[in-house]
Amino acid sequence: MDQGRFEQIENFLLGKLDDSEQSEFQRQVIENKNLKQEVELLRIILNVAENKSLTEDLESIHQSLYPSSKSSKSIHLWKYISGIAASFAILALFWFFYGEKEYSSADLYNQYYQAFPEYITTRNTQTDKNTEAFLQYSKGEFEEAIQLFKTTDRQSEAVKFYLGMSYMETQNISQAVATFSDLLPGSETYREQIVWYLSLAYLKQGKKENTIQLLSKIDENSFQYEQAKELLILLQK
Amino acid sequence: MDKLSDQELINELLEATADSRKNAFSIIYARNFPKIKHMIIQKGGLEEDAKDVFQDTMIAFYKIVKEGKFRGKAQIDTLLFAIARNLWRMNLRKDKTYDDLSLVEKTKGLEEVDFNWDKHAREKKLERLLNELSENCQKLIKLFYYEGWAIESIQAEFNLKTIQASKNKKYRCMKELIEVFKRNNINNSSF
Repeated sequence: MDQGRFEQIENFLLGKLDDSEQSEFQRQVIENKNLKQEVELLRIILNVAENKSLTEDLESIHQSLYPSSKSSKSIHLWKYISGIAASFAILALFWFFYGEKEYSSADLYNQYYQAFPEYITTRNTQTDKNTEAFLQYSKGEFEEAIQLFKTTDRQSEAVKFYLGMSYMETQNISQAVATFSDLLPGSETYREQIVWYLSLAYLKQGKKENTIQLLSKIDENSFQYEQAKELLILLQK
Repeated sequence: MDKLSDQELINELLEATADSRKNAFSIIYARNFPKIKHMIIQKGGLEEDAKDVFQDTMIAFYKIVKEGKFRGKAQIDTLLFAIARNLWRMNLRKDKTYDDLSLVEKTKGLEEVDFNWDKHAREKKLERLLNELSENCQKLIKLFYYEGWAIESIQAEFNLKTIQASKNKKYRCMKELIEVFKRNNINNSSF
């Protein structure tokens, strides 16, 4: 492949030709088997180069967010999945079980529980401890987050809510129940989230009736309404 | 951490500049890695497994967005979680270390996205071939094709005298890479 041909293929793949040139080149690709092979090889190479750069960027982001974590030398998952089905759909939704089997509280909890992301903007937080606590939470360092939340502004609804979530994350469910139950009556900003997570905390404790009672209070358009509806159906089977 | 909406994050990802893309990646990473790590550890994985799964999930997500296949019917967080869970399940199926897979399950879709995992997996394995190039060539390829640098910036970065000299250098690097792929019998029929 000479330089002229290479640059033509490159411009085609990068979408740098104008419409008529793009169509004309496309026609040539269809008609010319050698050209088609060259185009496809360069397409593969550019994809591979992009993947490598993406991997490097993500590794650098990981190291900046979690500086203490070690660089990966473990198995790479792709070697395991190669050779499975050639192509299939990713169905992004909530997995749910069906059939005759009655599922345990633990099964259902594992299916429906997802941590609440750290959406607090740290730019305007009141104290440094607050900022640090939310930062630890966002890093998944929940034990550290608990210690910081406990010593920071305990009047803040956000602080109490994330303290409860940190208890959930560390499997300290009784503390989570206590925190959310205490917060719920006067809650405003996080009311919907508290109802959902408190219902899951009860589920984890095997208190299905408490879970059902709370889930029934989740209105349409509220946080996790669809999941709550599904979970209610499964619990009432 | 800024609270950007899903649409704002998608726009950032699709911006031409590498900085905006990296910023969006960082935000999505910080928001989602902890819960995906938690899910994988709960299902018997290690932290390193979680990192691998999550990074592959992010790459797949980026490709889905770039190819215009993300329709915004599901939240980014939900989609990432589902991709990661599927990826982990695929890994477990192959390893056969986790018997929960016998559970009958069914999905109903808010968002259904086609993604060719097998092709992507084969491409991932080829990343090592880039290491056969000189560091200079690897850097040039990354700056031009991934970070979207103009050829004039390449000229300045590599201290080349003319634009044409920059194009020539880029061509030589890519020609060498094409030869590496050919030597390894990589062609369209491999895919």
